[in-house]
Amino acid sequence: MRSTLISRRGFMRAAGGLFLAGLVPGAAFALEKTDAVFAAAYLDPDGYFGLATVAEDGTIIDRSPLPRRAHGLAFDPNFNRVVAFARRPGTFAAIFDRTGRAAPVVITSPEGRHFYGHGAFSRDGRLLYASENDFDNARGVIGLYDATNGFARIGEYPTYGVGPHDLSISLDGKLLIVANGGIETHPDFGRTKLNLDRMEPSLALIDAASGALVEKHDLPANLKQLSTRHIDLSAGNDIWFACQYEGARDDLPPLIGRFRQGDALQFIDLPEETARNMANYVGAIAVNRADNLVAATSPRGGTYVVLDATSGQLVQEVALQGASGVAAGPHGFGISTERGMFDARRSPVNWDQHVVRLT
Amino acid sequence: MRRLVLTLSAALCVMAPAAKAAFVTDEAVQPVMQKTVDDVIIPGYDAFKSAADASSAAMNALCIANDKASYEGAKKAFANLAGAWSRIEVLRDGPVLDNNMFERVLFFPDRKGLALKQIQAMLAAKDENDIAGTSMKGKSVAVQGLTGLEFVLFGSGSEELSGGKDNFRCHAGRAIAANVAVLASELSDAWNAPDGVADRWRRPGPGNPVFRNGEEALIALLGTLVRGLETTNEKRLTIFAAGEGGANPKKALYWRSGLTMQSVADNLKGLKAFWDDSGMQGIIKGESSAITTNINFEFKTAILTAEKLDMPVDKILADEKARSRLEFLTMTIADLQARLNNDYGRAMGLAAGFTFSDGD
Repeated sequence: MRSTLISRRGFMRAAGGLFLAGLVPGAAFALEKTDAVFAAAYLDPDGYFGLATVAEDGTIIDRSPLPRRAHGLAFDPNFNRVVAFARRPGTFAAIFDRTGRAAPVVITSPEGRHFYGHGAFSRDGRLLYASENDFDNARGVIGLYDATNGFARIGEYPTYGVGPHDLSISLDGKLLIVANGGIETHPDFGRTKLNLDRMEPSLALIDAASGALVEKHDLPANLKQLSTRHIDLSAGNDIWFACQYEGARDDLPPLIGRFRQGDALQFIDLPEETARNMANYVGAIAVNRADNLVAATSPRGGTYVVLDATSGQLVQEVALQGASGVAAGPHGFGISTERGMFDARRSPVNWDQHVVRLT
Repeated sequence: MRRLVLTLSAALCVMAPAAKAAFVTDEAVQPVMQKTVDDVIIPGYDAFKSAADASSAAMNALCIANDKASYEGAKKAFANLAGAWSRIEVLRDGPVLDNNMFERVLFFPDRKGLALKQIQAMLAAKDENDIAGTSMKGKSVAVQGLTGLEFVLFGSGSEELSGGKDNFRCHAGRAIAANVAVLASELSDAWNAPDGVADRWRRPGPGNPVFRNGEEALIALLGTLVRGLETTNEKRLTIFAAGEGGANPKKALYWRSGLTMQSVADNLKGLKAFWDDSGMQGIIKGESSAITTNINFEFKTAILTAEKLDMPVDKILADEKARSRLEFLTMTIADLQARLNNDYGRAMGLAAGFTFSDGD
């Protein structure tokens, strides 16, 4: 498997003197000694939003302002670009060239569409895929943007479902994987969930070249209020997915599952106390392919769990107030909290719910 | 694995003391939820039900008399109905979200002008079967609620209603008003039912299917305020004052009846009732007086400003002074929203205000 991560030295080389010169001394030192660099969206104490790069120890390396609140991120290791998608029902996505050679590009969703907060680059970095809402028709779409030409929107595919959220791409680049959360929203009603009594959550595999549906997994009838939200992939092509439950708060549905192309969905049974601590809400999920581990956070429950990626067994459960974003590090995971913690360091920001690793 | 363990230990050491941080206790939230239900939500839906029954009765009277006095009575009853709904519609939670109940009562914004097209088609067809019995409930959500009734009473051709003759337009209005009364009754019944949604809202707790603890309940309550202010600003004011294509009075809700700004004032009064009557200001920690004083002041300012603007929307847009007052109103509401979201939210122990806990 070709690594999707570029090395730290590669990042430094690509970043060049311009980027380093712009860093405050502590941040430059943190970048020099860190083995990994992450990015996450934040809110600062003055109410401004932005995107920060963060060293493995939680030191903020640099910040880029954003017009409004961002949510999910996508990284392109080929050309060293990171995208911050507006939180739903936002209409902007900001693309930053981490080499500092090109000015940030801000794109807006076309009329009749808004972003759902997530997206992914094609494996060759030539296309950007974004999960979007065709809100007047209550159907999910994937917007296709030409990453070689100013991110012009060049088409769209259906997601074959309602309310798509996270969007990932198979390791071979041939399949788009979409978590259709099943929740209908419309910008006229803000973030209100309009169909909790008749949700249609599913996971769809879509041919990246043609947009044709390859495989769709509807959630079983007894889990129709379990909204599929986030996805990550294991080295062995397992698709791990994490959910948020919209049904009764005293139910304890499974929140995490996995499947492979051609196989049925398999849900992970967590111990009852752990499941309760996850508060029916997983905010983010990440697979560390080198360590063969999966981590999932619950900001509502103030908990995160680590699972064995092969057996699905619980390895560790940790109480962490506002546990928010998670991304695989060189070993283990970089985990952020709503209260500004990243690893063991607290910064005067509120981290949003997702973290992406850049190097 | 070593690094993982290190990371986890570090996180545990640092975070453990904060894990039970400042969030207000379940015991403090419980009476707030009790009052929210018994002093705000149930009276709100009961008032809506009474107004809907009165509007239905007024439409019946109009369809018998077909004269000017009964027409004025029906219009007045509609204004009361729109007012009662405007106060409780700010709650976008609970039974009103089931079965498209909200849209059935009020289909707005109506970007494609569906209500106008469909109600005009219905009035042109003059088919009594279309509106007989409970058939209105099966019609498009665009015609069966308040905007449909408003067109019947105030739209082009409405002079027919007081022309002294029995007419289909009145029958259609009567059917819509009866339908709204049924919807209002269903909402009121749902909140008044023993062991129903009201009880779940009154008593957050581990076995509760709606709120597992006080924190979840208070977040829902704060969410009603924050989202309600946002909706009032964006969908009731900005939509006609500075929407796509610039200012356009016909994009306002209730522009035909001239009730736009009265409805905005009622939205704000409805939200203020949640803030005042729930007792949620009383459980604030820290610099409580500064936070609540500012919020109280801005609620008062916003309501007074909206009341001063109680005139047809086209007049507001044509008058420089009224227009700047409208701008001031939107700024005040935005600031009020930020104060509730950030200041109150943080004082309650939320990491960064309500919207941060409303994740994806």
